[in-house]
Amino acid sequence: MAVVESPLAGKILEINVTVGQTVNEDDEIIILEAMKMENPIFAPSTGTVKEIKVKAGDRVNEGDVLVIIE
Amino acid sequence: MYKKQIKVYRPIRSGQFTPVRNCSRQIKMARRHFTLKCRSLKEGQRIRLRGKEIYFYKAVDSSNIIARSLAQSGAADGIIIVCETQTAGRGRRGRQWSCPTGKGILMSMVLRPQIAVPAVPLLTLLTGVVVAETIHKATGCTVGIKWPNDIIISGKKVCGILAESSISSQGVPEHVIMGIGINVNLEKSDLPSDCMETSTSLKMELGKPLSRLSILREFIAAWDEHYQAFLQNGNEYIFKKWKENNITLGRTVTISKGSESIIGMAVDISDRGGLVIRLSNGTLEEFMAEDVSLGRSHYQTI
Repeated sequence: MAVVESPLAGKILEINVTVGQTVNEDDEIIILEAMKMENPIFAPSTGTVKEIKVKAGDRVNEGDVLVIIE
Repeated sequence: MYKKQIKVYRPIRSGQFTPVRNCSRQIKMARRHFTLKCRSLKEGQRIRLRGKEIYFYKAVDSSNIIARSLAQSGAADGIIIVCETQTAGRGRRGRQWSCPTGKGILMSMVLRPQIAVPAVPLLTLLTGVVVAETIHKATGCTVGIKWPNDIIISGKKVCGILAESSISSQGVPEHVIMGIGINVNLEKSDLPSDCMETSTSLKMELGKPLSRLSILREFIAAWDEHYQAFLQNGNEYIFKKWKENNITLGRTVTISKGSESIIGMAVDISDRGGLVIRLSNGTLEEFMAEDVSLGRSHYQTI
């Protein structure tokens, strides 16, 4: 199981996956915005999206769990 | 969905790369642009300006896309893409961004900063500082930064910045693409109708055209100075320079947060670059990504 944490504080701009979706390693799964910089978050491994902990517009802090992939 | 591709080209000589595995569309694009550089002195021409490697294009879909492709194929830190026009230029959140051919500076830089991940977004503040100082030096105009990096002259926006990072799934900054569009020689009639009252150009402010190459030269000099100082002195350097150039702190601002608007006094920027607002009940709140408006009445006093 891979827990995807936010590397930065910012706001969730886009979520590009849905629960149950298969993702490959390095697929772009979320875009996080901070200071007008778009920061894509990539899947750390191939698997299935088990849980999405955030929604577009949410504010997150560094280390917050965004997505769980198994 | 775009799949990240990195280090798929191996440099074989200056400016040329050879693939090390099967090409995806993005990688083919990178190779095509490198090839164009060699075939024509205009399309994809490479020059050096103040030590920087710069690739010129007449028309591209987006200079950020070209820069991203080059970064993914191993382009070095500091490479700059400059184009005359973009067919699919965009601002933040997919907003369209357009500029008539040959009238603006449309550029994207590839950066490979060896800094901690939380400091990566601060590069947009630094870019705002560099653009503000560049324009002030080139024109003498009073230039200010609206948080985080809108460049304002006479209350109107003159430059847009679109930044994209690539942070590995292991939490390592791989590259940053810093896209910058400066309205240089646009007439008022060149501006999109919905921007006529909120945007300006350097020519509109000065009443005469300016050399875009001279401004680019000033930008590169200012970038090198401030970027190196940041790498040597850390985040505090950015905060100090940003505060010296900002027109946001000390003003009543409106924050657009989804469908609601929050009004408060901008009192500081936080140690991660967020805008700190004092709300009407006296509490402080930090904003990291929201749109900020200073209001027209405040612009007029600048």
